[in-house]
This record gives sequence, C-alpha cells and structure tokens, in this order.
Amino acid sequence: MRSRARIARTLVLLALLVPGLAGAQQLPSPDGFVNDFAGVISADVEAQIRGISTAVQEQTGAEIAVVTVDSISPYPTIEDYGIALADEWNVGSPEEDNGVILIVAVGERRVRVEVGYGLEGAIPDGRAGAILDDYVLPDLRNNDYGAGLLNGVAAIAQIVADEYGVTLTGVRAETRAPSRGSSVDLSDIVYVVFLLLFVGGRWFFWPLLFAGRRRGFFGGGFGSSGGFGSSGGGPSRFSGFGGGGFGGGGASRGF
Amino acid sequence: MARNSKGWIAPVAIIVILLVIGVFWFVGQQNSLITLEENVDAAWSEIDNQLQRRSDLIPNLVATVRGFAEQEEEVFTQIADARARLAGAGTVGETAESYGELQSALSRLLVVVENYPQLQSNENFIRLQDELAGTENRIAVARQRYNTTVQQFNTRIRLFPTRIVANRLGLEQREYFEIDETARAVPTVDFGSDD
Repeated sequence: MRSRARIARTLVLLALLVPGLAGAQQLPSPDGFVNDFAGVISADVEAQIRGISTAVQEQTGAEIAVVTVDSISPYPTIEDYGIALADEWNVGSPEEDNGVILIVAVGERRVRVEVGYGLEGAIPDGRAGAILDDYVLPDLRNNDYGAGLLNGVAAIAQIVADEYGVTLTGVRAETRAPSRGSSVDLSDIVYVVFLLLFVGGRWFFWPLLFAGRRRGFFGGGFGSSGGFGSSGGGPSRFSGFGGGGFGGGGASRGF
Repeated sequence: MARNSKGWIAPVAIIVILLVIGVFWFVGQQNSLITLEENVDAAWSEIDNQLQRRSDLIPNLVATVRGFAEQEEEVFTQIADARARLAGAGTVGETAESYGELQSALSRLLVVVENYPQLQSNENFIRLQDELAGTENRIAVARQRYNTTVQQFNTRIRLFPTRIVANRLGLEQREYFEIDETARAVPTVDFGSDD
C-alpha cells in the first residue's frame, strides 16, 4: 500500500519534471527515412527504400519518410496520428515544406500518405489516393508491407523528381550509415548529460539546439500523458528531418 | 546649488527609469498581443481557405454523382442550400453552424452513393472523394490550430496585468471554431436512411 503510494508520488514527480515530453511521448522518434516500428519490412527492402529516399533528398531536397506502427492508439484516426507525427517530425525542408510521410498502421490496417504543403501541388489528394490504390494497396492486402511501401515510395519519388525536373540517378540500396551503432562517443555522452540537465527543458533547450527547426507551437497535445516513451532515451544518430510543415493534405485507405 | 540638485535628481531619475521600464513593458506587451491576434487571424484565414476549397469541389462532385444518380435530387438540393448558407455566414459561430450542415448533407450524399457501385468505381469520383476527404482533414487540422491560437490569445488578454494593455487596445476575446463532432464526415459507417 505504502510503496504503491510512493510509486504514485514518484510518477507524479517525474511527470512534473518532464511536462514538455507529455504531449509527444506517444509518438516515436524518427530514425531515418525508414522507421519500421512494427517490424514488417525486411532488411534488403528497407535498404532499397532508404536508397530511393536518400537519392530524392540529395537531388531534390524533398524528404520521403516511411513509418510502420503496430497501432496508432491513442489517436482516434490515422489522419490524427499522421498530422501529429508530421508536426513532430517536420519531414521536408523548412523553406519548401517538401516532405511526404507514408504511414502504415498494421493493427488498424490503415495506410496514409501525408503530404507537406510544398508538394500539395505535385501530389494533390486525388493523386495521393491513386498512388495508394495503384501501388501500395495490392501488396498490403497480401500483407507484403515491404513491397507495397517500396512501390509507393518509388511512385512518390518519381512524381517528386518530375516536379523538380530531375532524373533520379545513382539510386542504390542504402544500408545504415557505418558510423551508426555500438560505439559510444563523446557526443553521445554530452547529449545524455544535456538531456538530464535539461529534463523537462524541451521548451528552453530544444529551441536552442534546433533553432528555427520547430515552427510555432502547433502539433502535439492530442492526448494526455501516458507512460514514458523512448523519446530522449538512447541517442540516435539520425539528426532529424529538415523542418517541413504539413497541413493535413494527403489520402488514407483501409486495406 | 550642487547639494540642492542632488536632492531631486535621484527621485526623478528613479521615476524616469520606472516610467521608461513601464513604457517598454507596455510596448512589448502591446506588440506581443498584436502578434497573437495576427496569429488568430492567420489561423482563421487558413480555415476560410479550406472551406472555400471545399465549396469549390462540391459542384464537380455533385455533377459526377448526378451523372449516375440523377433521381437523388433531394440530397443535391440540401447540399446546394447548405453551401449557399456557408457562403453567406458572417461570424465564426455562423460559419461553424453552416459548416456542420454542409457536412451532414455531404455525408448523406456519400451514403446515397453506396447504392451505385458503378459510381464508386468511377475514377473521377474516387479522385473527387479523395480531394474532399483531404480538404475535410485540412479543415480539421486548421480548426485545431485556430482553436489553439484563440486559446493562447484569450488567456493572455484576460490575465492581469496584460489585461490592462488589452483593454487599452480594445482587444476582445475571440470565438472558438466549434463544430458538432458527430457531423465530421465518416461516410462509410452510416446506414442509408434515404427518405
């Protein structure tokens, strides 16, 4: 009884310490162009998708991200989840808002393309829906998530390349950056120390670090706090997306 | 003489400094309130844009549906009426209300559409439906952002001491864009109640 009260008190204290994280903690942190949180994409397909996204990013500046999750809970719809994630991750460049996120909710069997402001002209909602219908859904219906997402990303990449008037060259499977992984270097330690020092200091500290990255106070805050997510836990090598804005454009489908 | 001036310079200096600080504070608050109000207006105009965009989509959608389902005149009329009311809405509250009406009229249309499999597989219709759904989603996003800025603004202008500045500027609380959540288009779950 007593220990439970203490645990509760500790939790409350911790919750008070990290107010800034409360809104965002249901959302995972990005880990590159492919974020297979549901574990449904094989390694070589993942490398292919990453290769396409990398080529697109290098040659047009646009960023195409893929996300798979087991569940979008506690968000009521994949549209709500999509815009919250888009606001949190800011895929795309801040000047052009040229990000696209392809999201699959495996549990809900829903898929969504979230299109950044800057690409709404190249990928209007009708076209986004057509991409899902023509390239993504057939494979998803067969539970071949990797193939569906690869086809979808390839189709989107083609449209983006056309929009920027470039021909994508040198697309190759991209394994993870070699520096990523086991070794802990000084910057990781510094990062962790900073996080500890500024726990709850998201509003003071992050803006300094990522000055100009987050625009406005929009996004987040759909649900109330739950458990502690992994955000801010292990240092990730991925330095984050550019800072593109989203307004809810795109299309969704069940499969 | 020197002693004399020393006697009044100190208090006057303090008063001047306080006044200057006060003026700076006031101007600062004034600027930030005006910025906040601009944010509210900007967020509102985004809703407005998307509402307009949806209104522009509707004639196309109706025309497409009509090609397959000519006899569903009642729904078409409801949509046209609701659309006209939305265009004539002045205040935030009126807009929200007629938004809800148009929303439910559109849901009815999409229910009706379920009786026409040919229409549902029509590519043009699918595209329009995606555009409509996308616009609905944009409205939802814009609405949430608008309400967030309104909340910030309303809170600021009601709190002391900013309140004094707000009163001097004649700033008034802004209205939230509240809609009946049940009206939010969920076209596929309703059972067709075509009367």
